[in-house]
Amino acid sequence: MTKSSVPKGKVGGMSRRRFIEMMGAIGGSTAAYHAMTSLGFAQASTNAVPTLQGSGQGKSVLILGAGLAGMSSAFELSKIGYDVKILEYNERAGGRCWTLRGGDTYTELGGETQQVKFQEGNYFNPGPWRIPYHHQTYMHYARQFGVRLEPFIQVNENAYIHRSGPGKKYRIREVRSDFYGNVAELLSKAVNAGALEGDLTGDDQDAMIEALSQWGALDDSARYVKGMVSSYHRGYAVDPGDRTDPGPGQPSDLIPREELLKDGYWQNIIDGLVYEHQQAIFQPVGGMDQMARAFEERTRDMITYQARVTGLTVTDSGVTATYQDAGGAEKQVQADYCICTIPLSVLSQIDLKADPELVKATKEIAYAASFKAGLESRRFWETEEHIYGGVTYTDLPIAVTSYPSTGQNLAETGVLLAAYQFGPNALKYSGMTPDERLKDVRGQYAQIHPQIEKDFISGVSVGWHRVPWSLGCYAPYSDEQRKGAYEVLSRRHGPLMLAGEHISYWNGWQEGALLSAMSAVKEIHGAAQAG
Amino acid sequence: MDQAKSMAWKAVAALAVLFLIGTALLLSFARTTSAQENVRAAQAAGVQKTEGAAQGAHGTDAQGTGKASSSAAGTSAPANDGNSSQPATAQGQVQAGSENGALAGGTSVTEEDKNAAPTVHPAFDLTDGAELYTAACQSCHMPGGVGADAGAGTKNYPALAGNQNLQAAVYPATFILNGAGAMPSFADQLTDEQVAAIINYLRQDLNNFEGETTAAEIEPLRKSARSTTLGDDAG
Repeated sequence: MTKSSVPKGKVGGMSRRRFIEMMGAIGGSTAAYHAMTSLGFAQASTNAVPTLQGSGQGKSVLILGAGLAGMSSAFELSKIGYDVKILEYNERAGGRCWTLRGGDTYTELGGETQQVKFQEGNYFNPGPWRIPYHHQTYMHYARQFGVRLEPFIQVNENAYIHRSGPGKKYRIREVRSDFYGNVAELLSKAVNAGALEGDLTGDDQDAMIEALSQWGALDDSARYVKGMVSSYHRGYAVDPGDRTDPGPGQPSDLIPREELLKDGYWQNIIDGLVYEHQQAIFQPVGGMDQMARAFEERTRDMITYQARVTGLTVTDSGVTATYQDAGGAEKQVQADYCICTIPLSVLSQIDLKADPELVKATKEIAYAASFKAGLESRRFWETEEHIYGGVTYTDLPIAVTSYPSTGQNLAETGVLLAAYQFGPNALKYSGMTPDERLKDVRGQYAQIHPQIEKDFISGVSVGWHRVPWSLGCYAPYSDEQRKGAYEVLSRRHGPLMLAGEHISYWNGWQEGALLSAMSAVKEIHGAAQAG
Repeated sequence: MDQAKSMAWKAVAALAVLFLIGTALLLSFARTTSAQENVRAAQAAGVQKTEGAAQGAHGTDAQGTGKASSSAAGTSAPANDGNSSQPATAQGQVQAGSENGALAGGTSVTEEDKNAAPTVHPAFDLTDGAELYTAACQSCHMPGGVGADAGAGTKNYPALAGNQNLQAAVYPATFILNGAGAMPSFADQLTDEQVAAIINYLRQDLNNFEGETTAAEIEPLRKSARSTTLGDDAG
């Protein structure tokens, strides 16, 4: 959600996220939470769908963009009688709420076209791919429209943390258990040695020792050592079974403490604990665009597809948009009010005649770089490595990889997320041809899972700066921009309001788009009722 | 047993230090400004970056190109550049803007902090202009700098080949160090040498303009550079 104000190179320093992860690793979620609140991270969104009183009869609203922000605005305003029109650049609705399936083609800027060859039932979400439980506006619409959700496996303790230097991968359960175990042992020693007497009374010391023993899987001597106690947390070398062989199973070796710290495995045990990734977290059954389809069903009659907006003139009495239609003819549409959901990356290039402060603000936000690649494959990760969904992390450029959270243990094939990057690496990979990307990504992925070399079926990649209709991934703000451009962009400018993830603190999340749409709808309706 | 005791005491000492550092880091980090965070981030990753920078410098020297010798001073580790006392307008603005922000935590910005220059975190371990263009610029401006104009915008990505604006080296330098509209600034990701190398590629290879841009010419332009982020997370 909220991004740090400071640019961060991949090679570069400790990001605010990284810092919070570290604090979480050291101090547990409480320390992470306090770090988060003091850094401005922790903010809940609420179900903001308004119940509008009165009628919009006789008033027109033009909505630019048929993504979730645009369609939800149209859906709510049309319910109370507004005359709503939507202009959409693409042939489809949904915007970044987007899913690619077999038979789809995707042509990126520069002209490269990818034919998606996935088997029936397989899909890839190039954009958003998960719905936190606290994204209550999204949850509201999913419930209302009957969009089925299924658990998104964010944390799979059996997935890996991979480090390319030593060429090693450990299961997340091994890294997490060993990190906790080491911390618990060290802290126990400190308590027993009286080092924390100023912080803990005698009774509290006993309670702390007991807690550390259980939390950290310590033995009777308060040590974290190889044995059945630690294996109860981290997993076994040989799992418990039947009769006498394997019988109780065999304990597993611990990761050496210096290796845990030196190679930074701990860095990846916190990602699933941060608020925006906490269980329960969901995905729509069948692909992210199920929500787009649900909105589109309810707003289709209002949408003009393949309409490329080239100009928007805003006066006190209304707006006039100029656009090119599917045949290239220039057309105009007028309305009393306008909700513009066009990404700033595109809006900043449109001939916007409005409050100069607003025009200036639209040109101040550089869009985030992001890249994803999906590889369809036989499900070796399930049959051979018993990983059923979840995220594997690596320090290779592909960074974040994920196994499908659907069809586990049943489907023959699935689509892996084999690269999920931001920042400079995302630019670099976006700049390659689709063939180069897949070759490179597969090569890296094979360092974690060599099976991909023989089991790979087909793949697709999306670099967000090459996406013709978004020219980037999302709007990241610095703290300075939050007080400047963001405040201007958030305000109503006469009959015009902007909406989209860029008008929220949930940047790059669909909830941000929906929340900003709901507040735009409320304010436009309020202005219309007043005026 | 003695050995175990000794181990235990070592662990206690280590733990105490860990906690002190952790607490101090938490407090100071939570109360820091964005500029301080930047500097701290550089320090936190200091080992890695210094190594990377040293490699970069070494690579340049090893090639023995004219560029390397002409900018010998400029090939110092970028992490050190970040700690130099060069005042930077852009940084000053960031700090001024952050003083009342969530990151400020009520502390005031010290004089020392105000003089901290933006820290470059070299994001691309490359020295060649064409290779840097491929990694940093090609995603938008396309191979060969032909640009792209089939998108939703009215300009989309301008062509850089056959572009008369590039006659003046300061033109691409300004865009690279400040960004423009949705174009991000690369001030934090590219060293002076790398910016110069890209400009030479743009001007000499993609256009036939004369003249070599040096790292020394880039450095003063950083004073007014705008920092942006390339993003780090999304749903």
